[in-house]
Parts: sequence; structure tokens; C-alpha cells
Amino acid sequence: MKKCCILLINVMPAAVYGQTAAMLQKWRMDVEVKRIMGWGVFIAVIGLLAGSFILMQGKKSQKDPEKTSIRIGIFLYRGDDTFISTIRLALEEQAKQYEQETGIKVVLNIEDAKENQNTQNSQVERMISLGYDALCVNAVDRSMAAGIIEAARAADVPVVFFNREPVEEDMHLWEQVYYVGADAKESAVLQGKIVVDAYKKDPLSIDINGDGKVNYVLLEGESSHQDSLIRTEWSVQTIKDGKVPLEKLTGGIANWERSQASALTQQWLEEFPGEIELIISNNDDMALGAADAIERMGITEKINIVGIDGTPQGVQGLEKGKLLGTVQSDRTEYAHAIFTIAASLACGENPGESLDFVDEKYYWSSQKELLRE
Amino acid sequence: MNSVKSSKKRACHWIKRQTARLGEGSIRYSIFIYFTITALVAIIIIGFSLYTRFSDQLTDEVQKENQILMNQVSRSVDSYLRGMMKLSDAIYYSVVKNTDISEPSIGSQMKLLYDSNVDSLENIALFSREGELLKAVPAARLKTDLDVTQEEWFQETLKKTENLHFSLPHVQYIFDNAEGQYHWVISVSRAVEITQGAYVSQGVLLLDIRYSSLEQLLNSVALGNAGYIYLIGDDGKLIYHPKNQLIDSGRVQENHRETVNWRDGIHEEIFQGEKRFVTVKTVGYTGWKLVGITPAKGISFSGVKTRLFIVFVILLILFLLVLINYYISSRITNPIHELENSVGELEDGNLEAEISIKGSYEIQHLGRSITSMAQQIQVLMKDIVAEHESKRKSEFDTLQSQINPHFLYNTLDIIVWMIENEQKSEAVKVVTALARFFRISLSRGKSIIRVSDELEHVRNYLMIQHMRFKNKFTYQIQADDDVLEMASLKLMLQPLVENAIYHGMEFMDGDGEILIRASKKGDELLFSIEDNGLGMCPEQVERLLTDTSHVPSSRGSGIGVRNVNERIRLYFGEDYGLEIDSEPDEGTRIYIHLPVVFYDELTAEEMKKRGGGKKGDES
Amino acid sequence: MNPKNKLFIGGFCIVLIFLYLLSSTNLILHDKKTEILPISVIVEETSDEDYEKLRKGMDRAAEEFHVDLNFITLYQSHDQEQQLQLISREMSDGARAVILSPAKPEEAGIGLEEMVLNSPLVILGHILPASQVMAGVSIDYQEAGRLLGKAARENPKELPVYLLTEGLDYGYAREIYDGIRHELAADAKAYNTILCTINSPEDCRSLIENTVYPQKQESVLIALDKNSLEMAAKVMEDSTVYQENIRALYGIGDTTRLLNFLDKGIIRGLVAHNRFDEGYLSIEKAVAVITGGYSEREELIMESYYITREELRNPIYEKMLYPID
Repeated sequence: MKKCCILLINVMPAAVYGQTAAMLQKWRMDVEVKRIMGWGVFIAVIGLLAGSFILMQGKKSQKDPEKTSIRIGIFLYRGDDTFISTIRLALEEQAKQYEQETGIKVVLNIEDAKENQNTQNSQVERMISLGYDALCVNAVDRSMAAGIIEAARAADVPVVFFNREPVEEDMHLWEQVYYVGADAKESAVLQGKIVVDAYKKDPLSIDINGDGKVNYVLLEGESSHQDSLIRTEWSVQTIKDGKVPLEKLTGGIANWERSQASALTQQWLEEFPGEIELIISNNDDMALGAADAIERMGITEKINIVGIDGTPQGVQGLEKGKLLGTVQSDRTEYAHAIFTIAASLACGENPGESLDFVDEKYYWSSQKELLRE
Repeated sequence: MNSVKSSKKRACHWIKRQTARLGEGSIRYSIFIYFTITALVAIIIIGFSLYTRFSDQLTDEVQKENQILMNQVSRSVDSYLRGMMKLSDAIYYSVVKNTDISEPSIGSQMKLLYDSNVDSLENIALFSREGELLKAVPAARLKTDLDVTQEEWFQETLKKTENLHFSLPHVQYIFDNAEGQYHWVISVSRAVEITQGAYVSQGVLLLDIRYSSLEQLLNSVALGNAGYIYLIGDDGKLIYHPKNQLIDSGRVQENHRETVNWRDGIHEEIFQGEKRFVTVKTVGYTGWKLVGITPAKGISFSGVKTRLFIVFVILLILFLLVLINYYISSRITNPIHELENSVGELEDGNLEAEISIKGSYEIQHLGRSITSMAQQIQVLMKDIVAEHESKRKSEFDTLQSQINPHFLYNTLDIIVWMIENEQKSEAVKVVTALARFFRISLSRGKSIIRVSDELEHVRNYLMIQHMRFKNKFTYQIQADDDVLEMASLKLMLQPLVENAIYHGMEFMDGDGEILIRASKKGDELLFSIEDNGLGMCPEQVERLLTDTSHVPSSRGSGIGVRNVNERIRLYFGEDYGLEIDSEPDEGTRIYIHLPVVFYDELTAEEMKKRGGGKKGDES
Repeated sequence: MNPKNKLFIGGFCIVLIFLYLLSSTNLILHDKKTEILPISVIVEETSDEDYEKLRKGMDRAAEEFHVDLNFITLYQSHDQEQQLQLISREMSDGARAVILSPAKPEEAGIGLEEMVLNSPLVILGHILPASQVMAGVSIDYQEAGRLLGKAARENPKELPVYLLTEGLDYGYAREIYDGIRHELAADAKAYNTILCTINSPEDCRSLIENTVYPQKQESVLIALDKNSLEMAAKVMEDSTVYQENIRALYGIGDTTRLLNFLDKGIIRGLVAHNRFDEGYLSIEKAVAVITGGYSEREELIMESYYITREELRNPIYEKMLYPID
């Protein structure tokens, strides 16, 4: 409205000036008087223009110094990935805690991309356009993170990636890009350690048929996920390093999904009846899927299953004896890290003050083995 | 009916009146109005035709664009579907057919094909005819106690084994699923031959395509501002629609059940009260139809703002025209105005008024003409004044001569002498003659009198002079009867007779003879005054007619011969006048030529001439 | 030029300027600048996991009507007081409207009357008397109860019917309860209904256990809200003994997990309604009130349906139960 008034006021003198000039012309008035009037109007116009300019500038530079509310967008690659949904719940809790502690209102908006990168991209765009202060992205396709980073950067919105790690070059495109994850190698080593420790304690608990070989099958996560390969490799390596006589029967990709793992395991159980002694799974969901298959097929011989994640379901499975062990990442710490980075960046603070980063942008949450008590 | 006619008539009448008034109004106003109306009409016609032309062109363009877009989308959908079909082919022909089902390579090859299409595929599965799941990528299990053979797509596929069967979008049901999710898929299935050892049996190859991949293909298409695209199966059921969910629950309406029957091309329809264009394009093989909807509103040129803008432009041009108009018409009409003002001044009587010579050359010409006309008028007026003056003068002279004092004194002396000498009867005669003489001399101020009166006048004069100049001469007056009523100039004969007496008779001793005759000769009225006096030589004759320095003579009226001649010519024209025939020592004959006009006729005209200003002269 | 002419020209100039501003600039007639309306949604749980379908409808409406949606969950489930606080907070933070799924509708009604609200409210439930509540989007809860009761009547009258709820005060459990009771009492010999309030999965488990030990007593379970339904289903899933002993489990709730339980046969039947539409309509109504001044207070009542396993794949219900994005 102000703008409107100002512009109208600016236009009027021009019109009035024109009219006056015309009228003066007709009146054949004194040239002197005409000139004076002309100058007068001219100065008035300039003055008004300048005034309005200053007013506008003043308005623009008024940015909120004190943030009373922050808006954070959270983008999950697949909402019903068990691990991811536990992180999600933890994040919601973190937000509520933060709100209660600092009194700053936290608006969380959680989106599920349903494994579609395009969907995720449009979700991200939408949040950026709505003016969200920070983004926590669990990228569907880690090789396509650059698009998200560029969009966020153009809008000056900081991004925290978690669990699915973008390639290093992309991470370094902008300083306001961070990553929170669980060190895959560490998880794998810990997983391996579970088996090694158990073997050391009682080899027959691992080598069930006592033939001096431990036959195992491997359930792998998505081939495009950076952790799958590392977990597989290091887990096996660790176990081998622990002098456990491993022998691979087969392996397969179950894409982190319980149902896929269940189907695969069933196939293998049919293919290698009585031979499988150990099932190494890249995550808990798949481990539980394997357990489902065993249960469904009514197999009574013991088969050891190890997973990674330590989700509530995994822990439950552990307690029920379905799993041998799992590696639990501290979800609270994980979520806390993600949230703190996002909240600090949203308030314009440096997250490095409250958290320890590797290479200034990587945060690895701590993990521990979990065994059946 | 009558009222319509009469109101039409009244309208016509009114228009005529207005246009007439227009023509009669000031030039500036007329020019202004005509100009403005012409310009306005021109603008409106141009504006309107351009507008409709552009509007139509725009509509055409947009439709063409939409058509192109539709084609593109159609091709995308086509290639998408074909991609799926080719995938199915690839899996079948390259992987499954002729390969024993127990070979592990089948699994890995299927996985390869799956991985390269993971964005569009949910599952690939191979079933035996009995419904057993033989292979699935990614690993999957059928739901416990699910009988695939009861599924519609399974049965349909085995019914028509040569076709690829596309289902409508549905929630994937047959596989054991992770708990919290559901997938919308389109099932593409075909009958296949499965090799198991030595046996070949029939089976079904199922490709569950992610509905979201098709959705994304069509999601981002916007036809213009408010247009959209949807996809329907060959039975009219919706496959994709931007408002799929809302149509299903009945919140939004769409007429897809009708559009399925339409042929490919662009159709126009009215739906829910709004006009819109519907483009239909059939996608190959499946018989699905792509329908594009563009509301007519979105295409049109004019929103409220555009219309206002047009009004603004028209008014602006009108305004500018008015100003230009004003300026031009001023340039043209101002000189006319000034000319008019000057003429006004002229009218008011100021002949000296300065006429402005300005403006276009026609106006300048007018100005100059008026100036010269004014000057001419001035000159003419001066002439008239001069003429009037001279007329006045001669009239005055005539008047004066009508009452020549000397003649009067002399005649009165004679009368006194006669009375003193007891010549009463002669005195009476003289007095009577004198009275008559003066009476006719005055003739109530008229210049034209009857011939009879003129003759009477000269008779009286002659009688008096005869008395005075005691038998120095004799006289005779002869007149034809038919000239008596004709018109003659007054004081015409007497001066000539006077002349004859004093120049001709002076030295005659009783032998002098003066003969006056009046007769009609041809179409002339002819008077003649003859005397046998001294006569004149030609120079004297000449002088007689031109003597301007005339001395009022004591002997008569004082009017000279020249005067008579002039007066005759003045009144009757150049053709008439005096003719003097004189022989020295012989005598002189003066002829007077007058037109034949009867007194009564001339009187009327005289009245008119004299009507102006000489009333005071009437006695 | 006479004054009249000058006046006329002056006036005409002003008209021209006005028209120009009107048509070619955005000062007077704004070029539909899409204003983004912030609208807050306050639910009664601590996480938005179970509100997926509602959110889908709301997101769709948000896209269409340019709404910036703010989905707010509570610190503690069923905390009506916090809901009221949140309403004030959101409104003073600039929310143009608030959509509320009341934790305890009666309390909410009383609380809202005492509050000074400057934005309109839409209730996912019955319309409350407070003046700023412009609409309610609800189902006929008694009817829903009756549907459940009717379904339960397929079981013999001897079996006790346990009505499970987190609390009759929560949501519209009471109305559903009335509906069920009404239906079950319709015959001469009424069913034996027992109301059980379960606060945690353990409560649920012990309740169900009690039907097996010490005395085996077949029973029918009806859950009055989705949480109790889920708890019961989870308990039953774990053990076939339970599954055999509980003749049938009915309830109200339609999350995907519950639908899966239905598919697996653990739940016999459930009552569902179109949550996508619910979300969509609530946003649509809120936007209409904000922008249009169309201020008719109304309650939009949606249909509820009783869904069994066979109905799951019925195309009529498919889109309602499994909304497409």
C-alpha cells in the first residue's frame, strides 16, 4: 500500500506539471514565473522519489535479528525403512526437547520420497520455496545429491545429509553441507566382533554342525548405498581376521527390506537345506526377514543371525532369541547430531561449537554391540 | 409496430437535426467533431480488427502449441509403454525362453534388467501355470494362501496368450509386503513358455510397473495456464488424472466417460458451464487415450486488465487527438476568427478597421479581398458622397435658380412701375405670370414635370420677358397633343429661351422671333427652340455646353445651357441631351432630345429616388 | 480556453492516469499475486506417522490453494491443554487458520470458548460452539459404532464383547461406544459388553491373556480407537493361541498397518472413512473462510464404511484406503 501511494504521488506531479505547463502556455504568462513553477515542481518530484527510495531501503534491511521460530524440513528416502523411522521418531523428540529448553518454536515437516529421487527433489524445492531454514536430507540416490545442494545453496538454506552419504566432491560444493552417519566400517567391525567373540567363547555355538566350517549366507543392502559394500567387506574380513573359518554359500541383495530378505532366505533354505549356519545381514530388518523365513519354514536347527542397526524391532528380535547380536547406533545421539546441526545453522550459529566434526562436515555417531543378555 | 416506426423516425430526424446543427456551428467545432469522430471510428475499427485478429491468432497458436505438447506427451507415454513392453519381451525372449528354469543365470539376468529399470519397476515375477512363483526380482514371496490363478490378470493373460495384458492401476497385493507401505502398480503380463528339463509348460510373466513413474511423466505437463492432461483406458476408466483422488470420492467431476468415445483430434465442449477445448490422442497398442483439456478462458487475450488497457489506449489516443485537433483547428480557424472579427468591425461601420491577413493562403486571400473590398467601398462611398454632393449642389443650384432673386426683383420693379402707372391689368397679368412661373419653377421640388407644365412655364417666362422687352420680339409655342402628358425635365426650356433672348434677341429690334416646338419624333420627345438671332460660331456653341464658370445671371433663372444639358443626361442618360445648331447672323436652333416616357410612369420611380433624403426640399 | 474546458481536460487526465495504473501496473488491481496462507494443523498424538492419509489430502489441498502447512504434534499424546496452548501460539505466530483434531472434544469446547481467537478454526470432528470455529469435518461416530456393533452381532451372544479404548474422553470414543451399545442392545437378549480402558500394550496383553488363562473364554474384541486396535492386533499377531481364542477383532482405524492386519486376518473388520478427503476438505474450508468471507458455519459429515478383507481390493474402496499421492 505504501508503495502504491508513493508511486501515485510521484506520478501526480508529472501530470500536474504537464498540465500546468500547458495552461501556462495558453495563458502566455510571464516566462519567469513559468520557470520558477517548473523548478518547484521538479524539486518536489526529486524529493519525493528520494524519500520513497530511502523508505524502501529501510524496509528491506530489516531482517529478523532474533529468531523466535525455526522451520526444518526432513526428507526420508523411504518412510517405512525401520531404521529411518526410528531416526525420525528420535528427531521429533529432539525437536520437542529443544522447543521446551530454548523456547524457540520448532516446525518440523517430514516428507517421504518413497524411493523416488524426483519426488524428493520436488519436496525439497517446495520447502525451499516456503522459506524453510534448514534441510535434513536422507537422499534417495546419493549420486544425485548435487542437485539438492545447488538448490539449497541458491536459496542459502543449509543442508544436513544423513545415513545416505553423498560423494565427497558434492559434499565440498558448499561449506553449509554436513553429513551425519554411522561409520560403516566401525559397524561392520563390531558386527564381526560379535561373531568372533562368540566363536572364541564357544566355537560350536557358531560352527553348529561342528565340521570346522562356518557356512554363511550374506544379505546385502542396496547396491547403491555406500554402506552395503563396506559393511559386507569389513564384517567378513573381521570375522576372518578373528580366525573363524568362514565359507560363503551364497549371498544376495535384499535392499534393506525385511520381505525381500525373507523371500531370499526362504530360497536359500530350500537350496541349501541344513547347511546354513550363519546369516550375516547388513541391517536388522533383513536379519529379521531371515528370521521370519526360518520361522515360517518351521526350521528348528539353530541358525545364527547378526544384523546392524539396533532398531527396537531388532532389539526385540534379539531378546526373543531370533538374532545373535546386532550393532546399535545411539539413535538419540544420531538424531541429536542431525537436529543440532540443523537448528544451529537455522539460527545462524556454527554447529562446530557444540559437536565434533571430522573434516569439518562429517559426524559419526557412536555405536556399540548388542548381544542377547 | 407503429411505435417502433415512429421512434425510428424520430431518431432519424434527431440525427438530421444534429448533423445540420453541426454544419451550422462554428468551423472549429465542426472540424473538431468531424475529426474526432473520424479518428474514433478509425481507432475503433483498427483496434477491433487487430484485436480480433490477434485474439484469433493467439487462440490458434495456443491450440497449436497444445497440440504439439499433446503429441510430445503422447510420444513419451508411448515410448514409456513400449519400453515396458520391450522389457517384457527382453525378459521373455532373451532370458526365459528356451532356458531351463533351474539355471541361475535367469535370476541374475532378470536382476540386471530390473536394476536398469528400477525407477519404473516394482517387481518382475515369473509364475507357472498353476500359480507357483518361480522367479521374482527383487526377491519376493507370495502372500500365504494367495492363489494367483484366481487373479483376473492371470486368467486374462492365459486366455489371450498372444497379447500383452495391461491392467488398470491398482494396489499391489500378491506379494508379502513390508508392513507400512503399499504400492500402486500397473501390471503388465504375458503368457510365456517355460522350459523345465525336457518339458515345456505355460506360465505367466508379470511386470509390475510403478504407477508413480507414469504419474511423474504426466504430472509435470501443464497445458497453458489452467489446462491439464489425463489418461483413460479403452473402457473409459481413469488411469491417470491430476485430481484422481478427488474424482474418485466425488468431489470433482470429469467427463472422461464421454471423451473415451471421441475420435482423435480437437473438440470443443461446454463442461460445467465453461467452454473448453478437448484434445484426444490415442496411445498405441494399449488403446489408452490421452486427453488434454484447455479451458477457453486461459487462451483468451483479455483479462480484466487487458480490456482496461485497451480502454486506456483508446482514451489516451482520443485525448491526444483532441489536443492535436485543438491545435490544428486553432491554426486553421484562428485566422478565420480574426478575419471574422475584423469583418465584424467592418459591419459595425468601422471602415478603417484593420483586416488581419493571416493563416492559410485561402484565408489570406479572403483577407486581402475583404481589405480591397473595404477600400473599394470606401472609395465608392466617397464617390457616392461626392456624387450626392454634386447632386445636392446642382439641386441646390436648381433650387436656387428656381428662385432667381434678380429676375424676381426686376419683374417686381416692372410690376411696381405698372401699378404706379395705373396699368393695373398689365400688372395683374405680370403678377399672375410670375406666380405661375415660380410655381412651376418649384413644382414642389420635383425635377420631372409634365411637358404641358414645362411649356406653361416657358410661356409665362416669355410673357414676362415680352412685357419687359416691349415688343422686341415675338414668340410662339407649338406642341403636339400627344406629348403633353409626357415627362420632361423642369427648367429646361426656360434657360435656353433666356439664352436665346439675351444672346440672340438683344440686338433685334422687334423682328426677333422665338419659336418653341414640342413633338414626338420616332421614339424621342423632341423640343426645339429656334430663334433668328445673332447666332453663334462653333466655338461659342462649344463654350455654351461646357461653360463651368457660370455666373448667376440677372436675366433669368441663372442656369446655364450646360447645366440643362447635364441635367438631361443625368436624368435620362447619355443618349439624350441638347443639340445646338447655330449659324451666325442667321439664328440658332437648339434641339432637346428626351426619351418618350409618360409622366405617370416616371413619377413612381422618381418617388423612389427621392425617397432617401430630400423630403425637406418639398415645399 | 474557458475554465470549463480546462476542468474537463484536467479531469480527463486524471481518468487516464487512473486507467493506466489500473491496467498496466499492479498498484490497484493486483495480478493475482498468490498469497501463501500459513495454516497449522494440531493433532492429538506425538508423531505424525499415523496421519499419512490425512496429510496426503492436506498436502494436495496445500498445493492447490497455496498453503504453507504446519503439522504439529504434541509432547504427550492426548494432551488437550497443550493443544489449546498450541492454538494460541500458532495464531499469534501468524497462522491464518488452525485445524484441530481435538484430544478431548468436550474439554476443548469449554477451553475454546474462554479463549480469544483471531483466526478461524476447523475441527476434525464435531463443530464446537466457540464462535471462531467455522467448520467441523467429521463422521457420524454413532453410526460408526453401530456398524461395528452390527458386525459384532455375527458372533453368538454368549461370547463377551470387550470394548477396548484408551479412554472414553479421548476423541469421539464415547459416541462410538454409544453406537456399539445401541446396536448390541437392540435385541431382546443383549450382548454382554465390557468396557476396558487400556493405557499401554502391556495392559492390552494382560487383558487378552486373561481371556485365555486361567479360563479359556472365547471373546470378541471391539476397539474404539486406532491405538487400542493396533495394540490388540499386535498382541494377537504374536501368538496363535490368542488368535484362536479371540473369535473376532473389530475396530475403528485405517492406517496401512491396520489394513495389513485386516489382510492377514487378525482383524475381522474395521470402520474407515476417506481421510484424504477429510484432509483436503478441511484445508479447502479453511482457505474459503480466510479468503472469501464465505462464513457459513457448517459441519461436513463424511461417510464411514465397514471394511472386511474382501473389500480391501474392491476398486470402490481401493483409492480411499490407499490414496495415491
